[in-house]
Amino acid sequence: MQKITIDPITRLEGHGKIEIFLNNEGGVDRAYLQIPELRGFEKFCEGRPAEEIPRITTRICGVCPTAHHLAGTKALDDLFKVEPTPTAKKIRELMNSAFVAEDHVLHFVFLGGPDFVVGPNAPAAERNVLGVINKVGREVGGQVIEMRKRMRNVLRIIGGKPVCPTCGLPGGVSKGISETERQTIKEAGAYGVELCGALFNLFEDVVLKNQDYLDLITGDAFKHQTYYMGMVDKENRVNLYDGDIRVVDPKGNRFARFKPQEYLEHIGEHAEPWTYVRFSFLKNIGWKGFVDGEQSGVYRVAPLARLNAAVGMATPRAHAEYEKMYATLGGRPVHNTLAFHWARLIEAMYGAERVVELAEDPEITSDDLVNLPVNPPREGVGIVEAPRGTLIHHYQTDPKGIITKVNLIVATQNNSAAVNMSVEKAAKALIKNGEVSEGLLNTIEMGFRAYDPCHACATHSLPGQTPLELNVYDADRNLVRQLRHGLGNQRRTS
Amino acid sequence: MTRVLRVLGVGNPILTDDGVGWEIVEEIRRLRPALDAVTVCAGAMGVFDYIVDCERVVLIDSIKSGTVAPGTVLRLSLEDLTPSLDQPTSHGMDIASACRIGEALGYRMPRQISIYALEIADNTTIGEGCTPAVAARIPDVAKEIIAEEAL
Repeated sequence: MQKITIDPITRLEGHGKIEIFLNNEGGVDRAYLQIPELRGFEKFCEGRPAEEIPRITTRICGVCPTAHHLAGTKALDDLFKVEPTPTAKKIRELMNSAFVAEDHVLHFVFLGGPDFVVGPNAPAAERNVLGVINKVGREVGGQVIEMRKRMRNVLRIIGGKPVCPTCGLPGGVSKGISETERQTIKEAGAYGVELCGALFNLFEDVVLKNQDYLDLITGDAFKHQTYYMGMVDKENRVNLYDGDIRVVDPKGNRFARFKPQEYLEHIGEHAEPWTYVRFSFLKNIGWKGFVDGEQSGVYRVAPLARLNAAVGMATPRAHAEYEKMYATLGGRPVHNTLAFHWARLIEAMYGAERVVELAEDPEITSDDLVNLPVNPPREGVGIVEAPRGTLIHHYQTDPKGIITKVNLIVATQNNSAAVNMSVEKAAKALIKNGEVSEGLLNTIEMGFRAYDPCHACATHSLPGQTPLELNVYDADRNLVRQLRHGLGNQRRTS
Repeated sequence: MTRVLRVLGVGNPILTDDGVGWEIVEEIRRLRPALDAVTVCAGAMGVFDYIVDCERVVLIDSIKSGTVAPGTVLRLSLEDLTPSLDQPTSHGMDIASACRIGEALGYRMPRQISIYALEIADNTTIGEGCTPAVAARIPDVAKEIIAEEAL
C-alpha cells in the first residue's frame, strides 16, 4: 500500500474564502464570502418516486437530517393532499423538538461558549471548546453530552435511527410510541429542561453580569436592521413544526403572514456572479443589495429571527426567558446578531419543554398513525423550522407521483445576505488605512458562529473541518494579507 | 459496552466520491462478515457516537488534498489531524476535536485510531457511485486495509 501523509502547507480543497478589496484610502471597498456549493440535487431527484425524497434529503446535511426529513414529509402531505392523523402530527413535532433542543444546547455550549463563556479577549489558545469545559466544569460539559445522547435516543425511537430518519409517510408516520418509550422520552425531555435551566443560570452569572459581554451583545459591530421571518402558531407564538410563516419589519411591525404554499409570492432568490449561493429576499420589497433597513428586502431567519417574528413562546419557562431577553435588550425586535446565542438557548428550553408536554399527551401512544393518501399528486410544499432557520421543500410530480421538479430553500440560504453583510461590516470596522487588525478573522468568525451557517454541509471528507481563508487585496488588486483558519495544518511524514 | 474493534466508514453515499469510505467498509463487511463494521453519514459530533467506548477504531474516509492522484490511499493517525476546537460552525466539528472533547469530559475514547483516507476527485456533485478512478480502487483498498490491520 502506498502511504502518504499530507504536507504542512497543503491546501485542502472545499474551504470557505473571504475576499476583501480595499479602496485607495486603505479602507474596505467590498468584501465577498465565497463558499463551496453542492451541485445537481434537483436533477438527482427527478424521475424518482416522491415518497423517496424525504429519505434522500436527509443526506443533504450531516447536521440537520431530521429537519430535512420532516420538511420533506410535510411536502408529501401537501403533495397528496392528505391530513396526517393527530398522533402523527404530535410524533413529528416531538421529533423536531428533541432535535432542535439537543442541537441548540450543543451549539450554545461548545460553539458559542468560546465567545461568551471563555470570552473574546481570552488568549486564543483558551478560546475553544476545551476552554469552555475548563470554565464550566466537567460536570456541565458531561451533561451536555448526556442530554444529546438522550435526545438522540428519542430520535432513534421515533425515526428508526438517530441520524437520517425514515419514519415519515404522507399522512402520518410509520411507527408509533409504546408506553415504555413514552416514559423514556419524557425523562429525556425533563433532563433537557433541567439542563437548560442550569445553562440560563450560567448565562446570567457569566454573561449578563459582565458589562463587557453585555456591551459586546448590544454593540454596533454585529447589528443589522433587517426583516425577520419565522413560523408561528395561531396566537403568533414560535412554533418549530407547523403554522404560518410570519415576517416582521425592522421596527417589529407585521409585514406578512403566509401559508407554506404561498412562499413563492413572498420569497425571491437573487444571484450574484461571484458565488453559486442564491440570496433570498422579500419579493414585496425587492432586492436592493447587501444593505440594512426597511427599504431592503434582506431578511433573517433562525433563533433570534424566529423570536423577533413572534410575540412569545408557547411553553412557560421558555416564555419567561423570552420576556427577560427583550426586557434586557430593549424590546422587540432585537437586531444584534450575537443575541442569536441567547435566543438559541430560549428555543432549546422550548424544545425540551415541548418534548415533555408531548410525551405527557395521552394521544401520543395512540396507534392511529397514518391517513392513507387517496388524491392524485401534483405539487406540495412543506416547511419546518430547522435549528438554523426556515427550511422549505417544494416538490412537483407527474400524476403517478414521479418527481418532475424539486426546489429547496435551506435555512442558511435565507441568512446568506445577512452573513455577507456581517462579514463586510466586521471588515470595515477592523481594516483602517490598509492596516488589518489581527482580530479580524476571529471577529468575522464570531458573526459566523451566531448564525451557524450550513456551507457545503453534506461533505464528510477529512479532515472534517470547515477551513476558512481570508485574503485582503489593495486598490491595485495585489494580495497584501492572508489569514487562515483550519488550513495547512497537516504534516507530511513519508 | 466496550467494543474491542470497530471498522467505521464515514461518508455521504449520494455525494459521488464522498461515499467512498462507506463503500470500502461495505466491501470489508462482505469479506469479513463477523467484523463490527458500520457506516455513518454524519458530520460533526455524529462520529463521536460511533467511536466512544471502542478500544480500537479503523476509520475509513475520503480526502481531497489535491496533492496526489485520485485513488491514492493516505494513511493518517489522529495526530495528523490537528483538532480545530474553535470552529465557526457546527459542521466544522471534526473527529480529532470529538476525541479531545471526549477525553476532556472523561469518556472512554479509543486507544488506537487508524485512519485510511482515499484521495477523491469530486465531493460536490450529488450522485450515487464514485468517479471511475476512485471506484476502481475500492476492492483492492478493502483487501489492503484488511491485511494492514490484520482484520
